[in-house]
Order: sequence, then C-alpha cells, then structure tokens
Amino acid sequence: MTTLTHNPSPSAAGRITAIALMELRIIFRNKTVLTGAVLMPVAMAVYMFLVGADQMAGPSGAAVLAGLTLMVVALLGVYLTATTTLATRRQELFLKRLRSGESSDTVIWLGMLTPIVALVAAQLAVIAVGFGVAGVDAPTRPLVVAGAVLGFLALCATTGMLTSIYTPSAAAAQITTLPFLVVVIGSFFWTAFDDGFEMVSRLTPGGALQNLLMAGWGAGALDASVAGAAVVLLAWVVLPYGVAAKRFRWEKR
Amino acid sequence: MTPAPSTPPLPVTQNRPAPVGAEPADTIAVSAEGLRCSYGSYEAVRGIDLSIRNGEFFALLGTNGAGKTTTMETLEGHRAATSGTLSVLGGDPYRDRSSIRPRLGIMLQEAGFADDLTVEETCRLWLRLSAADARARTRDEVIRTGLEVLDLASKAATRVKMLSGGQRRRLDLLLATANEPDLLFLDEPTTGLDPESRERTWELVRGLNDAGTTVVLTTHYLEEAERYADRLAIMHHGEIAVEGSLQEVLRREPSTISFEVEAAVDVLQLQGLGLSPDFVPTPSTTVVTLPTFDLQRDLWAVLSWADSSDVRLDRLAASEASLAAVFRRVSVGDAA
Repeated sequence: MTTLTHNPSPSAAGRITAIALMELRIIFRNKTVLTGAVLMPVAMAVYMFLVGADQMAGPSGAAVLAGLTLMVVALLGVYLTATTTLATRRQELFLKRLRSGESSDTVIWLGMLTPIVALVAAQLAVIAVGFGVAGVDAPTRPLVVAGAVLGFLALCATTGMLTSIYTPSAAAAQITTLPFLVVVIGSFFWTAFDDGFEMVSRLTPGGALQNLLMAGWGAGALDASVAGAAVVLLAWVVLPYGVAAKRFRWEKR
Repeated sequence: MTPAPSTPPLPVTQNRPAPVGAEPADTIAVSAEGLRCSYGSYEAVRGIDLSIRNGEFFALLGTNGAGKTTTMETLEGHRAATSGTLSVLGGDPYRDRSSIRPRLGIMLQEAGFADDLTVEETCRLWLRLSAADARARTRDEVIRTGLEVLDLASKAATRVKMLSGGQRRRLDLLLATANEPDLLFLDEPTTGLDPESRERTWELVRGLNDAGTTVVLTTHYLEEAERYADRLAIMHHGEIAVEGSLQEVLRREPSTISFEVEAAVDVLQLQGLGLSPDFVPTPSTTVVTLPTFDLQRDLWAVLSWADSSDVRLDRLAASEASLAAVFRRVSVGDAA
C-alpha cells in the first residue's frame, strides 16, 4: 500500500470553493431548484418593472423600485433557497457527512451559501443592466447601493441559515420562512410612512435597506442616519449568524 | 430451580483497562476516563473508561441503544462529552477538531450523500476537502484504486441516488479510508452488505490495520468482532459491561453441557460430582444445563455418571463459551 503524506490541509478558500462548486452543480442539475432560484426571481423582477416603473419616476421612485426588486429577488433567491438547501442537506444527512470530514463548520456554511448568494448577485447585475437600458435612473452613490445590496444578500443568507434550524424539511420552508418575509417587506414599506415611529422602523431590516437605497439614489442626505442604517443592516447580518452558529443542527431530528 | 454452582460461573464483569498513564502516551490512540454523554436528561453514556492502543483493532459491541454510536460520535468529535476526560490522538476530538480530523477516517452509521452527484464526483469532492489531497498518490489514482477495491468502478459515472444500499455503504467506506487515516472509526460498516462485499470491506480494513491504522469498530455481527478484533468491549445501558481480548472475555464465560433426562432421574446426584446443574422439570423430562469452566473434565464426569447410573441422556450437547453467549448474558442483565 502506498503511504500517503499528510501535508498541510487545503486552504479554507480551497475547501469553500470545492463545496460551492458542488452545490452549484447540484442546483443546475435539479430543474425544480433551478427554476426557483434563477428563473422565478428574474421573472418577478421583470413583472414588477412592467407594473410599477411608470409610477416610480425620479430618484425616490428608482430607489423604491430597486428596493422592491432586491427584496423579491434576494428573499426568493437567497433566503428561501438557503433555508430550503440547508434543510434538505440536513435531511439527507449530507451536512453530517461534510462535518465528519476535515472542514470547519464555517467553511461548510460558506461553501453551501456562497453559490446561492453568487447566483443571485449575478441575477441582480443582469437586472440592473436591464433597468438601465429601460431608462430607470442610475444611483448617484453607487458604493452605498452596492453596500446595501451586499449587506442585504448577506442578511438573507444568515437568516436563511437561522431559519433552517427550525425547518425540518424543504416543504416546511414554505411555512417557516413566512414570518421573516412579512417582517422584511412590511418594514420596507413601513419606513415610508410618517407615523411617529421612524426610529423604530429604521431598526428593522427593511427600514435599514430603504434608508440606504434612498441615500444611494440621492433622495436622502448622506449623513449619520445612513451610517446608522448601515450598522443596523450589519447587525441584522451578524445577529442571525451568531444565533445560528450556536444552535445549528447538523443532523435531522 | 437453580442451585448455586460449585464452580463459580464468573458473571460478566466490568474489566477496566490499566490506567492510561501506565503506558507511554504515544502508544495510546484513544483514552477515555469517566466519559459521560447526555441528551437532555437522558444519559446515553454513563462513565465509561476506554484505552485503545495505536495499531489496535478494537470492537465496541452492544445492544441497540447501549450507547455505542453516542460513544463513537463523541470519540470522533461530533459531540462534546458531558463530563470525563477524553483524548484522541493526543487531543480533545471536539475542541481540537481541525488538527485531529486530518488523521481520522470516519464511517458514520448513517450519513448521506449529495444524491445528484456521481460516484466519482463525490470522491473527488471529498478528496479536495481532505489534507491527503496534497500527497504522494494523485487524486485520480486514489479514486481509481478505491473504486476497484470496493467493486464500484463500473458505477463511477452513476449518480449516487441510483446506487443500492450496499453500494452506498461501500462508497461510504471509500470516503472514510481515502486518506489512509491513522485512526479509523467504523460504525456498523457491513450492515446491509452481501457476503462478498463484506469480504471486500474487511480486506480493505485489514490492509489498513496491518499498515498501522488503529481501527475502532461497532457492529452487530459478533463473528466479525471475533474474527478481526484484538480487543473488544460490550456496552449495555451506557456502561461497559465486558472488556478484554476475545480469549480473556471467553475465559470468564462458562462453557455449557446440556441434556434431557427422564423426569424420574435425580439430577441433584450431579452435585455429588462437584457439578452445579440448572434444571427445568417438565411432566416427562428434566432439561439440564451445566455451566462449566472445564468442559472436558465435566463432560467426562457427566458421561461416567450416566453410564454408571444407567441414565439415558437425550439431546446431549456440549458447547464452548462463545461471544454470543457473553453478549446474551450481558443483554439480559446477568452482569448484575
């Protein structure tokens, strides 16, 4: 028998890439998942543009249109897919298999979630180009918008991780994801109302996103409130991750 | 009716190994002292001591729910022990996972695959995640020989979801052994395999063990433990009831002489010969069982008694102590 040399382990990045490519391959081999993760979000974005573009003129309108599109695409493409994927891989005991190997927990999570996020990021890029061609105003502060988009994608991924803990199967994800969907979409619209609860609404994930996008399109000043919104969005990324990392289930119940 | 036997039938006892400190640390692959593991209020493992030497083939046996898999998964670092001390390859398998795992091979009792990947893709992914990826043998070489040894070469391009249960189990073994680990955990590796596949499995595992890999096995097939294990332990209700080499374990277990005689025969006469019969009278016969630690001598005594007393022994049988008998004794709680 040939003796193997146990050299230093592959890098974390190498392992994340290996798992991510595997997950991407699975997504493209499964037509149902492919439709849900790729076609549906894009179709929804096109539909929203066709229905709402006329009523969303100007910087504020563009920010709202971008926000709605981002929410729908990211919530369907990242949040729902991440929850479903992790629940399914847990149900199949594939997460347990990965954990019986040499990869750390963080590497496994990143490997599973990276392709989902990357796929949606690519979709958003295509949608953004499409909006530009269709005449939607471009953001005046693209870095703020890019930060908001990346933050929101990360938020959807970590919250998907957290929701998957309470999701025993892919089918159950249709129910367990509903509360967060309602909270995010509801809070996005809530922020637009002048009801005396602005301070509270800005602490919600939808509120933070709305504020950042408004600033990105120049509909709001680039002041401390924008930095505050960025911190809130970051907190909504970190908090679910912290809880999920502590309570994550690697085996089915 | 069970009179006290004159020869002590040595009940199954807890035989703790020598303290871990009694041997140089580098000869010990696994050591556990007072290891306890709980799920909420349920304690699955209740203070076990284990010491497994480097290069040893150790079998952990037990009834369903005895705590074998929990013990294995704790040794593998899948879960933290509730209390006790544990060292695997010189470290804590839970806390020091990143440094210990590259030297481990783990075949879980139940672990899944990504069903939409092919067999070869699955192997390739696993090797890319493994430290052994940067090694003397190429990835292709490891996959090719592994698939051939485990008779999966023709399935290389088949999606995992199309494999039979036995084929999946063999793929499981391939992944666990691909990095030629220093310590290999096998949790019921041959369950569901046909005899030929079982042979192939053991050929591979024996090869690794001969090359120096320490093997920790759980199985429900006692003959596999008898055949391959250097030492074994039998768990029951979260505790180790028996431990030692097969010879040591069997030496503590009595052989058995059994027969039936007519109901009128006074089998208590056997006590006069220094024997301790257990007997069950029925309307027409008496069924006699004699535990013995000297089968040849006591069988001779029984035959001599029957001959001189003109007693006919029906269904006469003499059986050496066996692991199955030890296991039965443990599982019905005779250890107490």
